[in-house]
Amino acid sequence: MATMTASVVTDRSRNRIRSRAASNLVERLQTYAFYVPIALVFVVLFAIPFGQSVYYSFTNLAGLSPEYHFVGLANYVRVFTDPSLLSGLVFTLFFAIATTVLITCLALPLAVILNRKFFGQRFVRAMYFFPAIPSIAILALVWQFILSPLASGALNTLLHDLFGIGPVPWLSDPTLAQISVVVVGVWSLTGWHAVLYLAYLQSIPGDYYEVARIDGASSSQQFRYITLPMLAPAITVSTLLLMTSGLNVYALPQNLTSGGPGFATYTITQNIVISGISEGQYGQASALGVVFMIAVGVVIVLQLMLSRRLQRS
Amino acid sequence: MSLRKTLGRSRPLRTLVAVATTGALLTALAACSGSAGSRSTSGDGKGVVTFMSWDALDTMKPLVTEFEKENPGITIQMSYVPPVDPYANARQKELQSGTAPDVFILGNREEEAGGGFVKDLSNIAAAKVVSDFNKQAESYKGKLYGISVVSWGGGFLVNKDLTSKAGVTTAPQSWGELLTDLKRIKATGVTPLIEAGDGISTTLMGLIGLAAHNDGTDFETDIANGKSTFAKDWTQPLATWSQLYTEGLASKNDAAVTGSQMTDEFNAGRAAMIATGSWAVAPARAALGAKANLDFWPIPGTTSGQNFWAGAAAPAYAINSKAKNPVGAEKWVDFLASAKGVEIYHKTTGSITTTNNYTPDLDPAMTNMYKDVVAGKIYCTWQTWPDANSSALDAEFLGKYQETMLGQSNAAGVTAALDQKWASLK
Repeated sequence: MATMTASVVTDRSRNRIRSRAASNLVERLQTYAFYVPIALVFVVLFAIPFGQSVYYSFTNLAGLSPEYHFVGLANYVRVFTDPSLLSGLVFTLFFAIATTVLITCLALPLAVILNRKFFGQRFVRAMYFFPAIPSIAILALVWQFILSPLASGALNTLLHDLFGIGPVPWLSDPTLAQISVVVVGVWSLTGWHAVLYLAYLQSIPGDYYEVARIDGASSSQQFRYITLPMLAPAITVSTLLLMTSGLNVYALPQNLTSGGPGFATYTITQNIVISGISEGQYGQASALGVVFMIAVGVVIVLQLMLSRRLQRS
Repeated sequence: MSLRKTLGRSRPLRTLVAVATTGALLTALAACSGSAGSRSTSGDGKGVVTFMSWDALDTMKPLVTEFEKENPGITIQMSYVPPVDPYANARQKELQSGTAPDVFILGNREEEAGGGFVKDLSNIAAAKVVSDFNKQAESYKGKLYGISVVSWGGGFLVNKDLTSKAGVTTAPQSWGELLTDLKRIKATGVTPLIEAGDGISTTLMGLIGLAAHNDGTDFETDIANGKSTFAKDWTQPLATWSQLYTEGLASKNDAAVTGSQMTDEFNAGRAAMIATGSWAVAPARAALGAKANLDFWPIPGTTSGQNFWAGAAAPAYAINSKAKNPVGAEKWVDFLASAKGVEIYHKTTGSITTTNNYTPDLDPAMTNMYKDVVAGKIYCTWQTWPDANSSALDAEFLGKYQETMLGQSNAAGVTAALDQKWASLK
């Protein structure tokens, strides 16, 4: 009887275990099912096109003809010997580093100010965030009008009327054109990154500042020893986003200066788009895209390593 | 109860949501591939004719309305993509994917005609009215693949109300005379000349065209075939043109001036001359008034009495070799070249029509250029370049052209860069 009972109990336990295992399996499968859409997006919109780009980068696929031949590393050799590409690389790096540094230096104190209570705080926050909303292509066209190098340009007219300064070649002088592109880029994104820092700032417990005030710490000391360390994760995220978007910049210089004057504001992505789409040199553009992706990956990994070291220290 | 809790509790509901999301995503991705689908049409062309225009829809609408009135049962389904690069990109993608419309603007002839993407139009009714120059411009290996009913001409658009203050009232007969005139105009405090830096100026095109005309050869075909080089053929015209900047008669700021900024300056009466095309006359007339003393002058050569215009046959209408409604497409193209069609287009745009079935009523400012444009005494860079590498060369040319305006390069530097670029593309 006891054996029978034990046997029944064992059977019941086994059934319960089997049923729980099946239930867990079903639940896991249901959970994995939610990964399917994003996995599909990744495979269809990234992995497959990237694989095709790597494949075509070793061919001479171009124009409308579907025929192509394997050309080995010829496209890669051309990538590293094209003078316009090299000038594009220099400006791309300059733009990425300059905007990352400037936006970080401006957005941090702006976030601290926006975190304080004052009359019109919400309006001021919205005003600083606004440039991040319209398309950067439209903003670039507006700034092209403002920064026109002609005497009748909007900014030149203002400078002449107020200070008697002659027309400034904002977009026709190569150095000023590069600075103008960076300034417009900084102007368009500082508010967005300030709001990012603001979100992190609001999660810092107020007790830390209260204790610091009681201990006699000044505002700058509070910023240096409390705010900055607590914002380290936000700085990592912000600078990572800025470096990747800076290295991939296309719409702003294309619409503001079209890469000119000369090749002063020409970028790598412009080269990829022009050679790959306008010129139909798909093999060449694929090689450039692969090289660029690897280069950006290396820069991002180095940046993350540096950020994490700083965070730990 | 929150959605999260609802989903968390119900396994069937979670499964259903996951499957539905995946299905929706797959449907969306499948839709991205896009397919025009088949359109059944009758042998008389009745049905839909798809047309990708690079003129604004408002410009083409009167033509569509008139055509549909004359051809009941045929509907023109028109789309618009702005010229030049966005249109070329869209056309390329659609030809490669087999979704190109029945009628579109012809691109590179070697690629599209040579690749069998467009129909031979040599024997359609429209071919009989096209001018010889336009026919030659749109032919490939002796066959006509595009119907071009309009040409554009370019040179110096002149506000003679401003130039006359410096005593300049007639077109200069030589390049030296032009430079002298510009100095006199500058001395009156008026900006003598503006060129746009976002494209090769009509001045430079006219000089290159004149050099080729005097040489009796087609520079671009010779360079592409290896019989000549950019250094040999283009250095002298470039050196002549660059004098505008080395002598301070045109501003270095032009390197960053766009075409629309240039015409705005002219239309506001702040520039005496601009290097532009015939499309700028109508807006200038509208801005400066019917009584404004406007004129269009050709580009003078270094030898007195010689001049040339920039210009080209306007982009031609081509019929897709895989058109879903080829009969309707041919009727549409024939209409665009008919006297009625050409008249409507001319009245809407003010363009220089070149067919033999209609004489346009042009602005008096274009009287000088009309006969030369119809006769083909015009030149535009890359029009006769035989393959698709002209885009890459043009990008290189534009960058070096701007550097020359800034004084950072010169004629020899530009042509050396072009020869180097061509060598890398061959």
